[in-house]
Amino acid sequence: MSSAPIGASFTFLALVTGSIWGKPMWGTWWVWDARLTSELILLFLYLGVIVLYNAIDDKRTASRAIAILALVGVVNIPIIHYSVEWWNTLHQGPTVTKFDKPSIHISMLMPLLFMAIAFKLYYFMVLMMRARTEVLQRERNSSWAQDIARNTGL
Amino acid sequence: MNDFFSMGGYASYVWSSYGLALVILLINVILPRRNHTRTVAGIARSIKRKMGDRHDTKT
Repeated sequence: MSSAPIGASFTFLALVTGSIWGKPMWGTWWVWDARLTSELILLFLYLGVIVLYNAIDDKRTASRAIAILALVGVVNIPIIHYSVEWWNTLHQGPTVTKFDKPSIHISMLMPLLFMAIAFKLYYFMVLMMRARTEVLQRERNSSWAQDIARNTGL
Repeated sequence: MNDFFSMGGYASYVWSSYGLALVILLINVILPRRNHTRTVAGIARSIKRKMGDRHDTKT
């Protein structure tokens, strides 16, 4: 559950910045192309996880429900990845993740990889922050959680 | 310097993307922090309430 809001925000960022760059490069903000559509479905899956979790009062049941939804959502990942090969539309084919030498220029590949790693680490940091709060909330009746609250909150 | 900021004529597209990315990254840190502070405060409040109850039953 700690992961879904981060994923939703990053997917939203990818869609909007892609759209912003699509305007000067393709001449349009949006097309119903396979990559864009499957990415939009990914965003809705994340939002679905968040809404489903908040809709169920018993958090243990809620966690189980969104775990199943997350497993269903995994089906979308290979679809997103191969969408540019299966359907030929405006979006370019793969430039990095292929067996051949990457067709992207090295001056673009380096910053791309660097930022990908940076975003991954950032994701991990925020995930840990959120997970800490969630564990504390669930264990709020345990003595260690109350000790933390007593030391920092009172 | 001006050349750099004009981004070959794509300034509005490039910098709006950077701006949005910055906003999203900031939100991703601010919200969990606020949430954590609230959670800790909530637990502290419930401890206080319990301690208050115990006090009431004694007297």
